[in-house]
Amino acid sequence: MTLKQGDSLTFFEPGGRRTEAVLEAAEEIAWSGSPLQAHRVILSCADGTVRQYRHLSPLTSAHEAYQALDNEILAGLRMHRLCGDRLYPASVSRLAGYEANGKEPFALVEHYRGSPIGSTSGRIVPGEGVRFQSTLLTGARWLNAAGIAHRSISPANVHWDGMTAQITDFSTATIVGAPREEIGRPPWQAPEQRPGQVEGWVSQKEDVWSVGRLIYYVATGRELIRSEQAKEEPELAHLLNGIFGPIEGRPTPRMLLTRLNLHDPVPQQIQPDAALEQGRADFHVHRMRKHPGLRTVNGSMPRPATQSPPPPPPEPDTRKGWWRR
Amino acid sequence: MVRFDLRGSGGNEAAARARAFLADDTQSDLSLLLILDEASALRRHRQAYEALVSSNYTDGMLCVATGPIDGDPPLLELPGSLTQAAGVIWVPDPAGITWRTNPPGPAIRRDRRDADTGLRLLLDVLSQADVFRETLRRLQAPGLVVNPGLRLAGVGEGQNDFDQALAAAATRLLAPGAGKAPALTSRYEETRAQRAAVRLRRDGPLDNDVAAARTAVEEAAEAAGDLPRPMAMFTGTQEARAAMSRASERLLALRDRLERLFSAAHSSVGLEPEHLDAIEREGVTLPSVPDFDATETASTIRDYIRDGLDNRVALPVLTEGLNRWQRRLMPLGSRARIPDLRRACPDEVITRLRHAEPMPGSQWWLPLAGLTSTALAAVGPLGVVSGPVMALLWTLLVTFTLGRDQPLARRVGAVTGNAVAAVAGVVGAVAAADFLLADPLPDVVWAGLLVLSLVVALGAVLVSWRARAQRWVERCGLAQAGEAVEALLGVAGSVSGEWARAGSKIAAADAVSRMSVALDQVGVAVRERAFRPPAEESAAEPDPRVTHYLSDLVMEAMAPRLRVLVSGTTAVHGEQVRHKAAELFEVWEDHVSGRSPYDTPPFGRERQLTPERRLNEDLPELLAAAGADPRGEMRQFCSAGEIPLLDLGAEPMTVRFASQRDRAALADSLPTGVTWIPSTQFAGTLRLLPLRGGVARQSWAAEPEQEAAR
Repeated sequence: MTLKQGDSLTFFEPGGRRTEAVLEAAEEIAWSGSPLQAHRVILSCADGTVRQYRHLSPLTSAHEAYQALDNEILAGLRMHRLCGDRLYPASVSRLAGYEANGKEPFALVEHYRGSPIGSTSGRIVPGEGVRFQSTLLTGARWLNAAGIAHRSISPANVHWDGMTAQITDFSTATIVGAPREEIGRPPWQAPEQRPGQVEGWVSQKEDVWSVGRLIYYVATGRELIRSEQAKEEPELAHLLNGIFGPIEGRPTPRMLLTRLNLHDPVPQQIQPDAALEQGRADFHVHRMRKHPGLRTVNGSMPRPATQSPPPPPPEPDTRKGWWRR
Repeated sequence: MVRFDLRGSGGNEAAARARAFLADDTQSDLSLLLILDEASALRRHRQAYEALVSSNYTDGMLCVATGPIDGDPPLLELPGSLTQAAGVIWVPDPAGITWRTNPPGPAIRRDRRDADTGLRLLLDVLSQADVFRETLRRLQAPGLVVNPGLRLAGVGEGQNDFDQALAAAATRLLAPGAGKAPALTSRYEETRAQRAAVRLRRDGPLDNDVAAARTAVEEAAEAAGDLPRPMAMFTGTQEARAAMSRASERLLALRDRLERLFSAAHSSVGLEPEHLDAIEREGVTLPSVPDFDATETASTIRDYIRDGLDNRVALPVLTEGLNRWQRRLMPLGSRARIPDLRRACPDEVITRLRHAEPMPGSQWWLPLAGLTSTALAAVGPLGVVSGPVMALLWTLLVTFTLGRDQPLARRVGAVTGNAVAAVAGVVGAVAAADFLLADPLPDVVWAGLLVLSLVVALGAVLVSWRARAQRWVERCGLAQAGEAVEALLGVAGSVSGEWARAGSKIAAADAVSRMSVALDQVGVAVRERAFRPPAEESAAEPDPRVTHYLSDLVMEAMAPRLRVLVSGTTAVHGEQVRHKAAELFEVWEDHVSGRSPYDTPPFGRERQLTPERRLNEDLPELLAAAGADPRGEMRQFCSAGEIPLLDLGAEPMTVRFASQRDRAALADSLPTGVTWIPSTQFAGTLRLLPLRGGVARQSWAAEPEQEAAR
């Protein structure tokens, strides 16, 4: 998509309102390996403000490029649906607008914080290490609460500005309960996403593997080659315990936050809309109809709308009481 | 030696300028005159040359005529006045070509950006008075016009030479593992001499535990000290055991409290308020330590990088050195020191105190003492009575003293053994007395033997008890218990120092981390700008001057980062330093484009070299330049199109020159006839190729405009 100064962009805000803005300036952002192209744009908005956004659009006309944009929009809408305007976490990039159906679809995302962790080979100031871990896990927890699985968390798409880690780039995201597929890139790819090992449904623990690897990488400056390496670091052994084993025994982001003595950032009163669950099932049916090539490796199909997808495994109850076993 | 530039002048203007030049009183010595003119304007400037030649001010004139000539065939028209009195050097192309005359080689175009530099260098060389005279002497034949070639030491092929030199220097700078990084220490790292005792608040919980442990150990030591006394034979080790058990409890309590404190106050990123509260609650007073000093840290890092670069240590090695220092600075946290507490007060010490072993068994000689004692008692006239009585006394003595604190089996064995020995003594003594003594012993003797018997018995028992008691105390490990208390306090002192320094250390580690990333990114910038794959540069030895200036570039790029090393993310520092390094490379390239590649760039320091080092570094280059083969490859100031205009059949005229300062080192290695000049800037070979006959033509006729003026 070419952007010229003076172009008028019409798009939907995440809340559903249609609005228009005039492009004041655009600068292409190098983004290797992505099916999307990105521009830094400055828009004069209808409310009179001038704002800077990241403009995402398909790089090619290939199916994967449009799917990537879809994923970005859907993840943004789910987060907005969960958080609204007041509670939006800084640890997750934010969708500001989208146009999904036009001739040149695009998404507008608020500008990412800081720089990718990978730009300094994972090196951050040591005193910021705990803050990095806590904000990264906070972001992962919010994604959990929204029912989103990022599936490609890596140093390239986790940003850091010295205060907050921010998870960005939802082009490979999907929703919890969707059929699993081969996705992601080594070494950040979880085992259940690798060729020959894909099966089942996307779960709440889908991103924990890559989050754990990233925490280890940033804390030590080394790649995790053997899972035992995590146990050899006294400061990380407790936090990363169980992450690099089978998915069934993997802790959730909320459990990991507990290990850091942090409260759950997602307020109790925020629950995913029940309508989303039915809608999710419908979505999968429509999606498979639209993209027939999208199947899991074992050829399984998602369940039809009449049958709800398997519920996510319940969080272990850590409260103690005499009636608890 | 004076220069006079006639370029850009018309015929009349040139003449006027020449007259003005001659009339200028500030130019005192015009005996050697170097004229710069355009080849196509020489004939028009006839009057100017006539004025100069006829002025009587000049003794020698060289004219450097630049630019191509026209005509088919090309013809260089020269005023006769010029050719009769001056040497003419034609420079059709100041950028020139790199070319070998014999055997003729291909003409290699030189970088056009280097044209100004080339002409400037030629003029600078000709401006050396001795070189000027020698060149003029070669050009004595009237009408002889030559085209110059130049091989100059310290000046290569212009931009290409700079790129190659920079690539070689960058390869050295980025070579992994090259060199050894200088040492890095800071006052935030505790040394053995600095370890202070832990300071405890009086009557604080920890202070109370320490006092209790020390008191209990002292009491146990006191009880153990009383044990060898005679009365202790009858009371046994009960009291001492109880004291040792109390000591073990207190010792364990102290160690446990320290372990809990180390866990509660553990942090690897500096102490938070809850950690300080935990330390305060236990009554530990942290020592005062110096705060983090950003200026000092920046200075340390600056000196480290500078020393490393001066000693040819590669950037990856320096970066790794900073990373190691950062890791040393990172607080481990007090929980990591819990194993030190276990080493200071091992479980074994506590266990040995709490569960003291039984008393050692009686010595092998004790029954013999009993035998002797009872035998002495049984020798007298009433031996059959006194002997058994003594045997009974002995057995009872052993039973109620030495038999205590023994396992039943050992006790029974000891008592039985001693009883048997006592009986044997009696029997033996009685029998011996009957057999050997004809008369009964006098009463005095018998009484004395009886007393001796008692003394032997009591003395043997006492000696045995003392020895056994001392051995028992040693086995309980009471001495180690006392040492353990002090060792625990030593660990606590070390840890309290770590707590106090945690803030400074983490701040220093953060700063070092930022600078490490910045230095790494300087390496990225160098790699992007200057690095070439090693295979192309394997034969290229880094030029020490370019290497030096590249190091200066690194320092200049790092300077702004060092000023703000206390803040900012690593990404920001990395990005900023890459921009700065790229800017400096641009500055360097701009500087070199108009000068020698080895000139000091604006950010560079002047090299402080000893004469020996300078000569050793420069000698090969000086010899190669001043001793160059006149037919060999060098810069020829023409284009390939002008080569046919040169007379290649003639022997090239050569002027070799080098600095008088280096004469002693060079003279024997150079051909004869070298011109030794005062300047230290130039050394090389000037090659003068004459033009073919007919290319240059003398003209005495005036220009049409001058004819019209007449």
